[in-house]
Amino acid sequence: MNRRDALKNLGLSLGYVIATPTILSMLQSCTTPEEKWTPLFFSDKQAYVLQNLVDLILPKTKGIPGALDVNVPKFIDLYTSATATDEQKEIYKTGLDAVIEELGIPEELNPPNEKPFTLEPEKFDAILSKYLSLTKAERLAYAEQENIVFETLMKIRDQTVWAYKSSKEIGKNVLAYDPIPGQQKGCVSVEKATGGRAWSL
Amino acid sequence: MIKEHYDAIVIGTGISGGWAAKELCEGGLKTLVLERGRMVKHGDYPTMHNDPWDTELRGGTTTEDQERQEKQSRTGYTTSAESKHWFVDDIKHPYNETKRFDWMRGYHVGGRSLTWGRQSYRLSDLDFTANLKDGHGVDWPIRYNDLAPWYDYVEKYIGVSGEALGIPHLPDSIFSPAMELNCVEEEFKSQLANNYEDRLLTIGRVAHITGDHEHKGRSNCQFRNRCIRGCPYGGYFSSNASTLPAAEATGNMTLRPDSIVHEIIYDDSLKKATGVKVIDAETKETHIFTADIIFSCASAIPSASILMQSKSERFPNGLGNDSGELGHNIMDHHLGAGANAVVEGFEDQYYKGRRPNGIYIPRFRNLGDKATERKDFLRGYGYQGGGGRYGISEHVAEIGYGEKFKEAILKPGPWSMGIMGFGECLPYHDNKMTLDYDKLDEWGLPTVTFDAEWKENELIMREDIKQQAAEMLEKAGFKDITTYDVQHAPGIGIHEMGTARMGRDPKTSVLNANNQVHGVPNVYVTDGACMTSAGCQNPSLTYMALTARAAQHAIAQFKSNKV
Repeated sequence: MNRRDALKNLGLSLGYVIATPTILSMLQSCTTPEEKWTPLFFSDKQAYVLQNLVDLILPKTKGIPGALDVNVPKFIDLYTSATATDEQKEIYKTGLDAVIEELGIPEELNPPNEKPFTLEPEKFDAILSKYLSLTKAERLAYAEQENIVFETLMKIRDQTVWAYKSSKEIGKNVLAYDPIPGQQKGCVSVEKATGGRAWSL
Repeated sequence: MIKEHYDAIVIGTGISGGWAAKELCEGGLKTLVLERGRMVKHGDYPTMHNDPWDTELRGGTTTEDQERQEKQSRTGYTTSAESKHWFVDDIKHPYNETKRFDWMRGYHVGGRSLTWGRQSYRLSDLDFTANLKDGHGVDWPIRYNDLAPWYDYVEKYIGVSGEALGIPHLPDSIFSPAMELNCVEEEFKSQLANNYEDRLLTIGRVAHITGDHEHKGRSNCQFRNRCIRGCPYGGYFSSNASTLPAAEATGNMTLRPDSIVHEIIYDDSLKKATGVKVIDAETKETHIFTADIIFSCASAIPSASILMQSKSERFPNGLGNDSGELGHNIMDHHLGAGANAVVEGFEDQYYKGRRPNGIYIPRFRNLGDKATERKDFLRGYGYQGGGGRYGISEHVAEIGYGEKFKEAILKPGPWSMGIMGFGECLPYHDNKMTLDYDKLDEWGLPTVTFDAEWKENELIMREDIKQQAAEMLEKAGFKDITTYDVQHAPGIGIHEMGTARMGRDPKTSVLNANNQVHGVPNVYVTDGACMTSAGCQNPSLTYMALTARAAQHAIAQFKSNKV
């Protein structure tokens, strides 16, 4: 059964019934493997950097997919390409280029007759550590300076978290997913409500 | 040109038009209901079941779409992929701004009853006597007792969930069971009670079904909080789920979408209105429909616009405009000022169900006694807001990225509590709309020009809104308090009203105590245009009560052959 049809039927015919986990499990779908993608908006070099940053921000861990597993860079690229104004796009590209410059990535990623360039993972880690693992005072200081590398990395982190949590795999199978709660309780222990996870919706 | 005759014509299918249609049809009148936009039947809500990942951009919209809804997007929430089809294309439906005015419109059957905030509060005599007492605007021609039975009548039908408080300036509705506060809101409530004698917190009063009472064709709220998309359950009140099906069931309703009413025809010899002129939005053909009674429920700005376009020898400045007040006294509620705080100590607590509602702190300023009187501003405001667990905590922000960061973002975020004021706006004659006959829309009709602004009383009130919000959160022991004041333009409350106000004197008002146009007793205006003052309460419930009351009056007039 198509998930939307299933929910639609629930909505129209069983409106007064609280959706049970059994019904919901009928609606679960399988996960999709990481896809290859050709950037619509980012240059190859920008996409290469974005991939590496996103992977470090939300890495794959035991039993839980990482940002790359749910195609976060591909979605950020699509989203920016379709929804950002020309001015927003310009700011994004300028910011990413500043990150690239600070990382010391050369002009050519794939120079002729040489091995393709790869940056040591430690370098990506170092730039995230410098700009994301900060106290509030440190963040405010960067913000005050209008530090473009800081602003770009914060934006990438925000987008990564949002794109990750709103992906089907994480939204349905990792976070606590309850499309039709049927009832409302104001105060319930975390344990009882979701077993420790945040609500998906 | 086709001519058809009906007993009554209703212009508009939103929250007021739906009620007029239901009441007039149930009263036995053959009623033509005209809607300028497209047909939408209950259940025709394309995004109602979408999860974020079901749309390619997860709620985002393309730059092409954004350009067509530049003004409709000013709220920040109306034009996401889930609800943008309920708001107009600003390029197709232009208006002009001498001063900025954020005019949110939905051109389709059901109008903004599909997307409204559902907060439902009665006005009281504090509101109905406000103009008389401080001299702003004109006196309302009615008092609370005139409207109270109609509030009862409407509430029983639509279903209002909430808590009875017994406070005179915010009369209780007939309530179905209240939704629950979460534990941080409970904490704020008890702290308010400890710290203030004059303030209390209650759950929002909303037009959602929560109890055992039967509402035909609708079922209880399922706590999905996807209301703005249209609700397949009819969990909240809308024309589509409720009043229009009721009108339809009588067999007396003819519903005609794509019908742009631009003029009410006045007959100088009969001294009454005889019908309406309509342009078909699709074919651009013109039609005349005649009727004994006409209800204008097109919402405040269009109703005034239709009256202004209805010129005759008797009414050269627009139907019922002997006073010169038509199109003036635009009001809205000013919002966007308030405060937020972080709340510690409830980390092991959460909630279930996505409550489509927040909390309410009733007005506590200028209640008519010395203790609450303010020297710096007139009238008052209420707060709406809520607590919840969103975003990331300071601690998680410091982790920054990586495995531990990932683990943390999958857990509930930190508790926060926020409240925002909804303030009353005074009726100012020079806050007005006019028609521009040089800039016509694609149907050849004049476009609306706005010239309205918040003035000193509203701006001073906003300072108090911010200060008191921060003080209440601070006294509650909450942390990291931040205040904000987003300087929106009028219109942003989507409570525009006052353009054809009710009053006692035809020289200073457009409508009488029964919502009849002065001098044209067979034309009633019962949408936001009729409001004489704004109160600080969300107004739709009052529009519904006034419409039901006016319809009753019209039916009696019709049956005694007085029209």
